[in-house]
Amino acid sequence: MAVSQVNLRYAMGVNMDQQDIILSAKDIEVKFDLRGQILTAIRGVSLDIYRGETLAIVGESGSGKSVFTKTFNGLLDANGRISEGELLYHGENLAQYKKEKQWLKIRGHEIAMIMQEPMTSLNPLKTIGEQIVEAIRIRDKKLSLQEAKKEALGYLKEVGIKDPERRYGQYPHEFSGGMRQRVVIAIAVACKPKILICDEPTTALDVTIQAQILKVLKEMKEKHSLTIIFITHDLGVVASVADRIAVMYAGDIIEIGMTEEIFFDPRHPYTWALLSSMPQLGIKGEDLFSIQGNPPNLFTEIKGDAFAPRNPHALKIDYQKRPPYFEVSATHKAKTWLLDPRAPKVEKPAGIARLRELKAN
Amino acid sequence: MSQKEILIDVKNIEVAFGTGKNKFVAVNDVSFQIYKGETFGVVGESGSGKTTIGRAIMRIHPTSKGEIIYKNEKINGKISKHLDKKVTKEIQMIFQDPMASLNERAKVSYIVSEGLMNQQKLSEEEKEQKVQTALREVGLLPEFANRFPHEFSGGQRQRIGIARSLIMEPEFIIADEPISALDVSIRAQVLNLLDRLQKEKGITYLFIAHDLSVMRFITDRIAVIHEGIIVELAETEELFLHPLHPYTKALLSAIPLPNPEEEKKKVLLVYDKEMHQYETDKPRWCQIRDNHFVRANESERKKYEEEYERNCK
Repeated sequence: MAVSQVNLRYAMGVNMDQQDIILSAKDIEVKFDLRGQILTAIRGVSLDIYRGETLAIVGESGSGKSVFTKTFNGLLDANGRISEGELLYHGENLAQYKKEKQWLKIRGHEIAMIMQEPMTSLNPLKTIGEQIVEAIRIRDKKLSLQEAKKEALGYLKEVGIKDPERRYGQYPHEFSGGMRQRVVIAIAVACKPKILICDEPTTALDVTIQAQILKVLKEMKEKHSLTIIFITHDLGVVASVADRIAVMYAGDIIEIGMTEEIFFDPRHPYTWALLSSMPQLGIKGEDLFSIQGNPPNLFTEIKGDAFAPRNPHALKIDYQKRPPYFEVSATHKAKTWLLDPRAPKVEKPAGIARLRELKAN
Repeated sequence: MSQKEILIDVKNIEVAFGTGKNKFVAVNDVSFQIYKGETFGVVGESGSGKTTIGRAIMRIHPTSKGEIIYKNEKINGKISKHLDKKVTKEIQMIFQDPMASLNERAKVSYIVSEGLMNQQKLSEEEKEQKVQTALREVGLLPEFANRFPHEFSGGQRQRIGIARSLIMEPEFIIADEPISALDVSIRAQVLNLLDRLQKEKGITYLFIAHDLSVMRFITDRIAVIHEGIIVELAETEELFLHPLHPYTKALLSAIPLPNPEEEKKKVLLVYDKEMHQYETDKPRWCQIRDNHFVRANESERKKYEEEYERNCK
């Protein structure tokens, strides 16, 4: 049974090429004006998102994963702008949107977002029922209050809130962190979006609650046929939810592939480093693998591979020329010169081998 | 085993907030011992009282019952001035959120050296010396002493927090979720640092966290706490291999596995305390194996014993 499921997933992966693309980013570049200096937060990222998939974007803080997805619904700060590239959604180029009015059609209705901290994304002065009804009635203006309320109760039940009739009239402070995040999910889903962006939805939560929220997200995805973009810094979290993983570093996607490919056959040294620093792979008494140095300064132009200064396996060319994508399989590609046929063979860190062993067992 | 020196002995402590009708017992009849030089983990969900235990040992929260014995001296309740000074120096704490736990308006040199002021008379030079040594020990540059906290990243700030406790030359550090607010890659650095300091200085840690995956890497023994009651206590590997209490199992099942194939098949266990029948058969603290304790009543104890036997085969 288990084996057939795995095969099915691989088969799906191959089919992904023929699947329709719901959102396509082409060479997106995002710049911020900061005290007279220009910061390039996103450096030419191209990404196709397929309908119905769960795509995880993984990276350290400051890698640009949040900024990149904020461009999808026009939430960049006032000093930021998409300076180059296209964002194609249903034949429209979102990168050209200038007015708030244009975004209102997209935001929530087409692409909704769940933020990290459920404490701050809910209005403390309104009952959670009112907040869900608000979302429903913006979507469907003809709905009466009674009908909207009925629908809201349905959503509360779907996200696993017990006794929804009583909870409907309560305020956010009466909910625990996990319950609040469920309410936020209910509000987002009530807008009936096509794409749901989850920006670190479980980082502020306990491990047990985190596992439950991930389960709710998976259920909601099936029920409402959502496409989910899942942003996190913790690769461990995405193993259960993601179909594909994109690894971001210094404003660029440096490796992308199916979840199994990223976990069991990672190619970029940064992906190796991220995977090996998971405490699950540590051996007691030995030092846990950690990445030396700091992410690069994005105020200056980056030459070559952005990870090279922190990479013990860096080649000479890594400092000179930016690597293009090298294809590993139809669904898996990475930006590293190590994949060039002329590159020397480099030993992967021990942690990666341990992951393989896990698979074998 | 029994030759190990006991550093902290917590005996049946209770910490309660409020009085009368509003009394809320956050920590209920908790006992454990921490040996010198080990890392003792307390794990539980938010609201389980794990932080309260740490704070009770720090004497931030007064205990309403029980005793805390540190190096054969009782340190909770009323204590002498001399002992107070000693305990303040020897027991230090590292906090969860490095963004909130450092004074934004003070320079790093002041933040790190503040603890010294109460302890001994030191000249400015001596103080500066000490600050620089402490900063170097946690892998920061001595010239950082003249900067303000906002100039540092999360991982660096957590190092400043560690330097602040190190400067007191503590014997015992309570680390309250020291890595929960950090990025995965920075987590590894801070864990390695804590580990190195333990090896070099023989510091004992009480490590509080909600994430068992981190615990497996750093702790020697773990106590699992649920709603102010310790439900299971065992050596780390033992706990991971033979978890007995349903709450421990639920916590273990929630650890994200770094393996997509396994992870997608995994069944998530949810703990509900209604599952115990404790009306007539009251739960006790039972020893199942050497150094492996679990809270159970008589029938559960039998069940756990059998389960353990089966697991071993």
